[in-house]
Amino acid sequence: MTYTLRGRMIPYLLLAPAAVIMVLVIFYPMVYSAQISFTDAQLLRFSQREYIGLENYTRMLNRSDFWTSVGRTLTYTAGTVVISYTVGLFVAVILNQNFRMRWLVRTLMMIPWATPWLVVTLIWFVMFNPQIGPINQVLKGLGIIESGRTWLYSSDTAMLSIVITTSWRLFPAVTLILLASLQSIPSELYEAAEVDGANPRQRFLHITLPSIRTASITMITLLTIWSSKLFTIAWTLTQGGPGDATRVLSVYTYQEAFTNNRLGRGSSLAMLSFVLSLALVVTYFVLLRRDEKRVEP
Amino acid sequence: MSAFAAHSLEADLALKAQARRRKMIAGFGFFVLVVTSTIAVVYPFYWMVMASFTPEGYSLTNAPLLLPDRFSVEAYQSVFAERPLMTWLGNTIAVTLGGTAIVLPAALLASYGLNRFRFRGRMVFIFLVLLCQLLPASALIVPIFLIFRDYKLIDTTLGVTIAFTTFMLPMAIWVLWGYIQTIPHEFEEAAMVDGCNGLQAFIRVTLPLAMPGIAATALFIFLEGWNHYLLAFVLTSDTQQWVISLGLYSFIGQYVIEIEQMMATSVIAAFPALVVFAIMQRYLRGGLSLGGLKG
Repeated sequence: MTYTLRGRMIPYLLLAPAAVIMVLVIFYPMVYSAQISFTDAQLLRFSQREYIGLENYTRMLNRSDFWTSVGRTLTYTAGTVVISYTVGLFVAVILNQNFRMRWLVRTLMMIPWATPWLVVTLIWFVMFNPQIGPINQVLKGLGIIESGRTWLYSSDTAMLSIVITTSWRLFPAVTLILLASLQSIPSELYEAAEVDGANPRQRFLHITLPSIRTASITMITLLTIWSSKLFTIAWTLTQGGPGDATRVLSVYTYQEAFTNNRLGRGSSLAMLSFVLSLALVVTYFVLLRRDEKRVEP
Repeated sequence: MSAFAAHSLEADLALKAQARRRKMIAGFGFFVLVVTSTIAVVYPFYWMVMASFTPEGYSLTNAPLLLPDRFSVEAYQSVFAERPLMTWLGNTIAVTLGGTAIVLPAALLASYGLNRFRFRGRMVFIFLVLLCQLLPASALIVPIFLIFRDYKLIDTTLGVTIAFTTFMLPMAIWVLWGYIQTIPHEFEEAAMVDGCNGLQAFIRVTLPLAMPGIAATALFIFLEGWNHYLLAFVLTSDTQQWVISLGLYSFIGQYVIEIEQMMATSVIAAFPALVVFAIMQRYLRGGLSLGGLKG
C-alpha cells in the first residue's frame, strides 16, 4: 500500500521543480499582468492604480493604432514565413544534389542561423545604409535603381527590410529540416517516374513536394511562432518606425508600457498578443490534423 | 545487317555527344546557381569581418564592397579600450551559465517524468509547457519589471538570470524530452531486474545514456541566452550590468556611426555563438522538432 502510494507520487515529484519555477517566473507574472490590465496603472504612480474593468481592452479594440499593429504583425509574420520558407526550400533542393564541395556550401549556408540576433541587426543596419550600404551600391551598379533608397528610414521599405533581415537569419533552419526530409525520399520513386515519362517539374510537384509535407508544416508552424512574437529586429533596426510602419504588437506593447508609461494598457496588449499567437498556432494544428486525416486512409 | 549496326552506332554517338553537351550546360548553370546563392547568403557576414579589419573611419569614406586596400586591428583595440566589452561578455556568460544551472536539472527530471510515467495531469503539464513556449517575452515584461522592482532585482545579474529562465526552461524540457524518448526504457527495466531501484536505474543507466542530449540541450539554452535581448533591455539600464546584446545595440543610437568598432564588436560577439553552433551541429535537428506534440 505505502509502496504503491509512493510509486504514484514519483512522477509528481519529478515534475515539481520545473512546475515551481514555471509558476514563479511565468504563471504568477501572467496572473499579475492580467490583474494590471484591468487597472489604469502607470509607471510613475503605480501604487495609486485603480480598477477600471475592461476599459483598457475596449479602448484598445476600438483604436485604429491597435488594428494597424495587428496588421503589421501579420504582414511581418507572413512575409518572414513566405520568404524564409521559399529560400530555405530552394537551398535545400540545391544541397540535395551531388556536387563537389557540397559540405562547404552546406556549412556556409548555416552561418546566418548561428549569428546572434543583435549582430544580425548591426550587419543589416550597415547593409541597408543609404550612403555606404552594399545593397544600394549593388542595385545601382546593376541599374535596377537609379538613386539610393533609404531602406530603413522610409515607410514603404522599412517592413520589407526587416522581413529580409529576419528571413536571412531564419531560413537555414528550414533548409536543415527540409534537406533531411528530401534525403529520405527513396531514389526509386524518381527513377520510376522518369521511366513513366514524368518531366522534372512533374517529378518535383508529385514526388518532392508531397514527401516533404509534414516537415514543411512543422517548419511553417515554427516560423510562425518565432516571427509573430519576435521583438528584437523590429525594435533594434527600426524602433517600430518610421511612424508606425514596423510597429508590431511586441513593440507596441513595449512602447505603451515603458515609453508612454501606461502599464495597464501595455498589460492588456500583452494579453491580446498572447491570444493572437495562440490563435495562429491552434489554426495550424487544426489544419495539420485535417491534413493527416486526409492522407492516412 | 552490318550497315544497320554502323548507322545505329553513329546515331548513338551523336546522341551521346548531344546529351553530354546538354549535361555540361546544365552543370555549368547549376554551378553558377550554387556560387551566386552562396555568395548572396554569406556576403553580409563576410562584409562584417572585412570591415572590422579596416582602419577606423575607412568604411564611411571608401564604402568597400569586396576588399579594402588597407587593413588594421585598431577597431578591436578601441572597443576594448573605450567600452566595457569584457564586463558585457562576462555578464552574458554569468547569466547564461546561471540560467542553465537553474533550468537543466529541473528540465531533466520533468522530461524524464513525462517520458516514463503515465499519470493524471500529464497532458495538462504538457499543454502548459507548450503554452510557455508560445508566450512572447513581450507579454512578460510588464509584470516581471514590476515584481523585480519590488524585490530589488533591477540592474542585477541575478535578476536577468531569473528572467532568462522564463524562456530557457520550457525550451529545455521540450528538447530534452525528445532525447530521452530515444533511450529505450528496457535498459532501465533490465537494471531493475538486476536489483537496482528506480533511482539507481535512472542514475546508472539513463543518465549516462542521456549525457549527449543533456549537453546538446545545455548548448541550445546557451545560444538562446546569448541571443536574448528584450528582458535584459527592460531590466537593466546600468551599462555595467548589460549583457552583450545591449552593448551591441548601443552602437545604433549613436550620432556618428563607428562602423569599424560596430563590426569588430559584432565579430567578437558572434565568435562564441559560432563555436557553440559548430559543436552542436549534429544535434540541431532534435531541437527543432515539435516534441511529442504531433500524434
